[in-house]
Amino acid sequence: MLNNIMIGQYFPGDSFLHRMDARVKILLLLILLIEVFAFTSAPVYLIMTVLTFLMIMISKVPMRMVLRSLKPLWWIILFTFVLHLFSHPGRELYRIWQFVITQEGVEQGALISVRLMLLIILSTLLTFTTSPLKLTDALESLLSPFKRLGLPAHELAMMMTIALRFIPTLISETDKIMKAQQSRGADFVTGSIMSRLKNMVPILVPLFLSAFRRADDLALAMEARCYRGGEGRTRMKEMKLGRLDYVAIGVFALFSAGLGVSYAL
Amino acid sequence: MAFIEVNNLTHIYGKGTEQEFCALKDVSFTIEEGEFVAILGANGSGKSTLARHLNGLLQPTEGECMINGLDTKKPEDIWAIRRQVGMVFQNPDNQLIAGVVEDDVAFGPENLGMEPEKIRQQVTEALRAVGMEEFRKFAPHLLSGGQKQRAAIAGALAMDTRCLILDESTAMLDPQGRREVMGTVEHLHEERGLTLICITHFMEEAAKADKILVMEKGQLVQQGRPQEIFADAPRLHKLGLDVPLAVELAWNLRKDGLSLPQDILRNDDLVAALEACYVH
Repeated sequence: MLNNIMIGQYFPGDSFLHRMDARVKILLLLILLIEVFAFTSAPVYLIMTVLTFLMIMISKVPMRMVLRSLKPLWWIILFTFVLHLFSHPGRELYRIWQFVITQEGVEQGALISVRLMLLIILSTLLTFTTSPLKLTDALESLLSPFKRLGLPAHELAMMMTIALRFIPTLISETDKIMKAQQSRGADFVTGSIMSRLKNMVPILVPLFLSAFRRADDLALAMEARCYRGGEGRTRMKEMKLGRLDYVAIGVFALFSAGLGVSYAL
Repeated sequence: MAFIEVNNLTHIYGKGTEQEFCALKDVSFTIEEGEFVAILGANGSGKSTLARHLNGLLQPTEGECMINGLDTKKPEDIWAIRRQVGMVFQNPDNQLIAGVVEDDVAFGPENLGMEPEKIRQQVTEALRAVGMEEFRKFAPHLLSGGQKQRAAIAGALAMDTRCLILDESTAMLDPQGRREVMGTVEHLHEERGLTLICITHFMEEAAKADKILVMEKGQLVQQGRPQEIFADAPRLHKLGLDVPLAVELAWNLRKDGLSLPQDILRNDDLVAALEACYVH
């Protein structure tokens, strides 16, 4: 049951988006998200939507998979839409008892819903086209200027790396412990929520114990392999900006400038 | 000068506290470069504590531990020592750091600050040396136990290690994995003259060593060639240790009056000796 879990949702590939430097991707995504917030208007959102679908096509990630990432958020989107329907004064379209649906409400609701979907799809596209490892490296590199302010960028990245490495190990261990407890009569499926929660304790205690033991072992193994923090450490996979990245930055800058100008007009 | 020189090494855990425990008592021995040494002993006899002194993970309470002329007590030498003495631990799941095999092998060289180009070269070479090239892009949890341990060996090799310590590295593996790992390290020992220090409960592994050290309650009670060590089977039994099957059988046959040579270690030796007995 716990075997086929996917960490992040990396979709391996060799597209333009996959080959871009992860740092560039993160930064461009951030700016793009800010633009989505800053330029709230129907024509801009139309262009943004077209751009998003274009990028999905370039990435070669199946459309179905991308849209599936919206699934857990349908309710929130719907809720926001309905909320906006009733909360803007303006030309009355329809009345249910005391609640008035206005033209402005429909427009605003639609806009905000599209904004939410854009935000989600764009961010998902980043995790679809970037392996967790590259994301971690990129974060370390992007956060390293803040080291002087005391932000432990390297340590954070190392923690993420180790967490990613051990998630599958700990999942299979949880599976094993559950089976061991079930074979001794533990019941995780029936009963009230409270009693089921209580039954989780015999899983969590051994799991934590073993995680601590693993941490001890791992620390020893890291020390034996000359680990001494981020100082003086090099990386096998250097992050270098290629021609691709400059092209992407250029195209993006033009696009943003165009958007800004058209929004101002 | 020997590659490893341990002089009057004593290690006390939690010195000065109530739980003070003397894990090693006045241990001295030397290991030459290119030697294959097995360390035997029951659980709690101090084998792992001893091994952890050999690359400076632990410092001696008394005595000294010299690796290739470097003192493990000197903090400035510790990285040079750890680079030369690689270690593979017991649990294959708890010593791989990265989520992809090649990144894990690169971990050591990255810590040493090698150039990226050089690291790639080291990683490729190390993976080839342990026969794991095709698993380069694999995630550790998709590998078998033997493959994980071979990846760990590659991690040490990528740092240009000259000595490999296997701290019960085969204990959690199935027979197939054990054969893989031992085959790999024996090959490296023969081809590259890698110094091997093997802590093990498997006597068949120990029988292949040049020298065996026997530990009991923190003391080094015996050292010598496998033939010498295994000659006294009852003594080893008393220490809670086994002898290889062939040795045990030869010993019993000898007791029953069959005249067999003293230096039987492996099954092949025994078969040859028995053939000699009955053909002539």
